[in-house]
Amino acid sequence: MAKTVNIPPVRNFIQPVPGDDWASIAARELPGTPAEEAVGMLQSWNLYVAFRPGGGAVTPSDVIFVEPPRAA
Amino acid sequence: MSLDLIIRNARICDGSGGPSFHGDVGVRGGRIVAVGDVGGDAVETIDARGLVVSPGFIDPHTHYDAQLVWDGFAQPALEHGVTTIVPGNCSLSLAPLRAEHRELLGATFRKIEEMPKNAFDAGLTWSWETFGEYVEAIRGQLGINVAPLVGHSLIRLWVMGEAARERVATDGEIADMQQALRECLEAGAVGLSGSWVDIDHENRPVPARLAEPKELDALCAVLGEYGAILQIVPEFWDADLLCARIDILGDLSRKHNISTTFSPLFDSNASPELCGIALDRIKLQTAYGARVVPQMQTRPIDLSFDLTAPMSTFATLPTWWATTLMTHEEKIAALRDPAHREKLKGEMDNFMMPIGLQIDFADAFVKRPGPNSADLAGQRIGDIAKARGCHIAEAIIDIALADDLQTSYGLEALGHNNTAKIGDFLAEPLIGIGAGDGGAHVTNFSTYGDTGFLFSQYVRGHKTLSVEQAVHKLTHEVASLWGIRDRGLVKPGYAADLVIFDPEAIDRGPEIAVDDLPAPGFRYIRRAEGIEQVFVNGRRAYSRDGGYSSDRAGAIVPMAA
Repeated sequence: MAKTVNIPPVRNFIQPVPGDDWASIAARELPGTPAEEAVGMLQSWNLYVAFRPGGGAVTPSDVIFVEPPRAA
Repeated sequence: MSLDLIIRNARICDGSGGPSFHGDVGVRGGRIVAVGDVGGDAVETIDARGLVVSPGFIDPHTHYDAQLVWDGFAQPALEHGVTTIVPGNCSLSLAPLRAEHRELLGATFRKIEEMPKNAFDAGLTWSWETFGEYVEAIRGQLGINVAPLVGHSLIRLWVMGEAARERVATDGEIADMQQALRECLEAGAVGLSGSWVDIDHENRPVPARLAEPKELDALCAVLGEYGAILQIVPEFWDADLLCARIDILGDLSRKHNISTTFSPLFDSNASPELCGIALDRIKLQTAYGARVVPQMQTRPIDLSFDLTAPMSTFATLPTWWATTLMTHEEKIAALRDPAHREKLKGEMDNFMMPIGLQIDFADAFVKRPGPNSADLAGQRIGDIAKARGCHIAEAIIDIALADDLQTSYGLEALGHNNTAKIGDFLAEPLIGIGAGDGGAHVTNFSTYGDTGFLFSQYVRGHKTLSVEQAVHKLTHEVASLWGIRDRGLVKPGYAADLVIFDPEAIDRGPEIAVDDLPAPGFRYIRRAEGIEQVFVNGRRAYSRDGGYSSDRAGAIVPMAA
């Protein structure tokens, strides 16, 4: 029987659903934040995606952080 | 009954990690039949007094997939004591693959694993489509054992065609991928490889990266049916990202009762706390029942580059990358064009390697000069540029132009070079040794000799591992994780994959360029030092005095039941 455990993440993240882009992730994960600001926040927390070659497109296997880095 | 081989008077490190002991090893029919005080006689007897006998080393992270088609010994892996290799890592195997996708996959494989196109094309005779056909194509000529992975990108291409590069899979396609994976596992694959980072020859994500989590989950369910392993490349340069990936692997491991391994775990001054943070996360996941094993390589990162072909060194320098893709004539013209040179200079001024390597092109040195630059051999580019009063980019370009671009440059100790720190990590029971990339990056750096380097640097040098521990990490530990049956121990009933080496001399030799590719060109390799004899399935595969045998005793190794 597989174990089910809930280990809190080091930093909260999601993985995209099919069709996701920055705007849809921002709307879902940061609903109280104005759209443009939310996208900017998400991209700043995920520079590895935002600045990747090819224009920063999100792929379905990506890890997308939904909070800033935590203090060490 | 007489034995085929008795190795007498050896110090036996049996792979278990326990104390070594002195004795004999008897072999018959490719198997170890006696260990200890072995009586009787044998067709061949070797006196190994003063030497260690250990199980053959297992290299879990290689890309010999193509080389095995023209070189069944995977040279020079064997002479470094490696008797079993795992090709097919990082989502890229060479099967299953339909004929119409050969050029596409070939271009991707050559880009990511840095294999010259002329060698790849000359050496590969594509006679297969299915994984089983690939296995049969290489089986008869193997001088080394092979435990192949099947690549997730290949499974996607097989089922989805070119759409594998464009979109997520439908539920029906995922079911078809599950069946395709079953067929590969039945045909000899020991697991599935994936990647969360690699980009293809058109700078697009490899197909495996377009899988949504439920696809990977479904494939891991199949791995669970077979007790097979998942290998994957995570974002190894960022601690938060790596911990997230460790958690994802932990969940997959627990849910499907599978072993998972990622490569590499890489130390860098750009992120000096990363390995410790990752190890803490792995310990936590292990405590909760997951099997997530990182692979750490033993050697530091050294690179070579030239201007004849695209190389990872230029991956984040778009104009340099584009220039290396030009024809020779176009390249010469561009490198002489003042406007183009200005772009190249500008990019080098703003260079940033995103994966934790710390590259300063001023520290590059002239490694293989052409005849017109022979006096510059070994000189630092920054010093040459200063003496010439030019930009470092211009120094690199002009030295190369003087010899029709044949000059090769070197960059050393770019990362993973804090050996005192790395020695402690290598000794950690939860960290595996691997990520060596044997068979790949052939003109960029030598991926061979990591086994000897482990002994010279960390057993004899820093003394962070005993000989027994080092042998264990290269043998039984790997066989256990990867489910490789009956290998990795010197024990009656086990396959007679054996290495006889001098523990005071085993090492990697200096990096040298050799021209043994199946087409004009060269690759960097290292010769072994201190390895006396290597046996594969009871037959001599290599000896220090006689070199490589013509005996092809290698096998496709079965998984544990």
